[in-house]
Amino acid sequence: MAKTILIIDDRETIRTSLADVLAESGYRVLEAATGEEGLEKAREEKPDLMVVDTAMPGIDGHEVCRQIKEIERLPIKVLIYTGALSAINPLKAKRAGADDYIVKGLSPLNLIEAIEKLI
Amino acid sequence: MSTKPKELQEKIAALKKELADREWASRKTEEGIKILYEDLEKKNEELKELDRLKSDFIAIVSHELRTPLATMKVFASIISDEIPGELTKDQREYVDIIKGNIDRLVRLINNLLDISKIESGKVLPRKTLVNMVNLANGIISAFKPEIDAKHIELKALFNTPLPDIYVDPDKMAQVFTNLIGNALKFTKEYGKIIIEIANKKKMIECSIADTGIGVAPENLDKLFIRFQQINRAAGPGARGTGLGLAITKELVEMHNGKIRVESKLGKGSKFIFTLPKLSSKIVIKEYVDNVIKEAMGKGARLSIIVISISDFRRSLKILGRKRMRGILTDLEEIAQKTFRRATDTTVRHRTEVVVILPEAKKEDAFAVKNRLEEAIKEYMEDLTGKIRINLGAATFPDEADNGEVLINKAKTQLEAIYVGLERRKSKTRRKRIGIGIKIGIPGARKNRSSKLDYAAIRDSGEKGLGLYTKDKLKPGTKLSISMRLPFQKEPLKIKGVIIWSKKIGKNKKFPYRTGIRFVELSSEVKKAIFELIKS
Repeated sequence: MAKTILIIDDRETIRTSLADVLAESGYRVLEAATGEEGLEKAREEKPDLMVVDTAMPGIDGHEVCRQIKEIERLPIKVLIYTGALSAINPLKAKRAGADDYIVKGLSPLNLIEAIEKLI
Repeated sequence: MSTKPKELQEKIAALKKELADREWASRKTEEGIKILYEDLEKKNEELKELDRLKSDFIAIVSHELRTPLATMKVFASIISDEIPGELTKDQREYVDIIKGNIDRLVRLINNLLDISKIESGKVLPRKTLVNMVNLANGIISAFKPEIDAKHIELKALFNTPLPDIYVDPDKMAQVFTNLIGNALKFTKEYGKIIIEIANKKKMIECSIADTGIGVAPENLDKLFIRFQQINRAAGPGARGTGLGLAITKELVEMHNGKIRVESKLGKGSKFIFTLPKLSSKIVIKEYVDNVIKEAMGKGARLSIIVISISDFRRSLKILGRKRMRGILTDLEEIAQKTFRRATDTTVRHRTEVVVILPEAKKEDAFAVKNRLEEAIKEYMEDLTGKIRINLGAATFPDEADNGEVLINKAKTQLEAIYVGLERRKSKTRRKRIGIGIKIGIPGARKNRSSKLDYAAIRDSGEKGLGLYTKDKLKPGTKLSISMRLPFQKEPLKIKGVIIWSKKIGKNKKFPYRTGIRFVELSSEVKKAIFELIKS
């Protein structure tokens, strides 16, 4: 069965382009535009992996991760990513319980590589 | 007791985890920065490529536009010259409008071409040593009719003497033309334009101030940006293209200079640009390197000749700073007079004049050096004893593969120019000494010198003799002289070599003067002859 991946990012262009690439790689892809929406979908769909952007209005990526890992203790892998130089903070992601952390460049290659390592 | 080691172990484990986390984080950060950096580089390349495409596009389009415009201009002129038929007043007005706008379009396209060439890095300054005051005066005189027509008072405040600076004269002329043209355009009748050139410590500062319309403070930054024409109410004179100042800025910056503007709306503007004064050493190096760079492509050559004054300090003491400076200027002038090609040039560096001969082969350089030596000898007659001048030549790529090596090579080959004493214009030693002298020239068909009155001594020094002779003697010929000095029974035998022979003066008996340098002569004998003749 195809593994399920949930993408949480408030920027639609990035979300959809990432979703397209992952769908092409054979994954079942879910999308969420906010942290709240993402948590809800995570509880309902129990994806194998969540790919979460750090900077979002409302509940940010780190908080989503903490909720899943520490509070609800769901068996979901979490990959946190950021795209901005000023926002690079892997230690914060680690403390939130993330399984991996990636800086996303123009090419999604390294992100997909990291996803494949996790699931 | 047993709990303590356990606590410690836990602490150690926690610290180990913390350390591992931090190491992991720093590795992740590094990876992330690398990715972003690569992205930036890629984007930068793309932008450069786009910029290049844009410049190419402008260059091609502008060029294509020029051709039909030229045709339009020709036919508009034919109509305006009334060749097809007489024009009515209205027709003339319309044709003039057409012509004016064609001209404007041509200017615009030329400026566009200029700026696209500059931006694509295709325009390299052809630097040479330039006196900015002379250059500015030239431009000012070209504007004189316009200045007079508007009754504008023009003040030129030039800080002279101004050292030459190493710039492209054509580009600098364009800068002056643009700035003075602007000042003139925006200044009303009976206004004032002040042009200043000041000699600052590390740079030359030029400024062009006017009493024109001025610029509002919020617009000052926009002045040097392309196509920004501020407050351009249709005024008198030609309409601009909005590119003049942008080009001017590029031209100044191309020379590592800076340009800025000070202005008050309604009062006037002042454009100030500075150009660095490079040390002459750097200038020579850059100059030679530039010429070599150009020569590389064509597989051509370059020679340099260094003219240097040895023991400069001693000469300075004897002759004084002013005189020495004059001598260097003279040497430079002499060098310039020996040039045969327009590209030949000189650069002065402290106690040296470097002659640069692009495209000159080793043989050419040798010929120039010989001409130079002759010219300098003549010049040195007045200065013998007070100064010693050396010449050294080197050729690229025969003897060096870069500018620095070439210069050093020339310097290691310096040779003193020998000026025979006989060639001095010394007045005190001009007396003729009436003693018998015999000259034997080996290999000559008949020994012309058997007669006692074939030659006479003019003067003598430690190194040679000056003779009056009946014939012109060939330089380089070795000879022996048998000289009977007063109060001496035995004649003195001297060997020498002819350095020069020239017809000087109107002496009928001895029309030629000949310089001889002693060879194989002990210094005591030389001294004895010198002393004897001096007495």
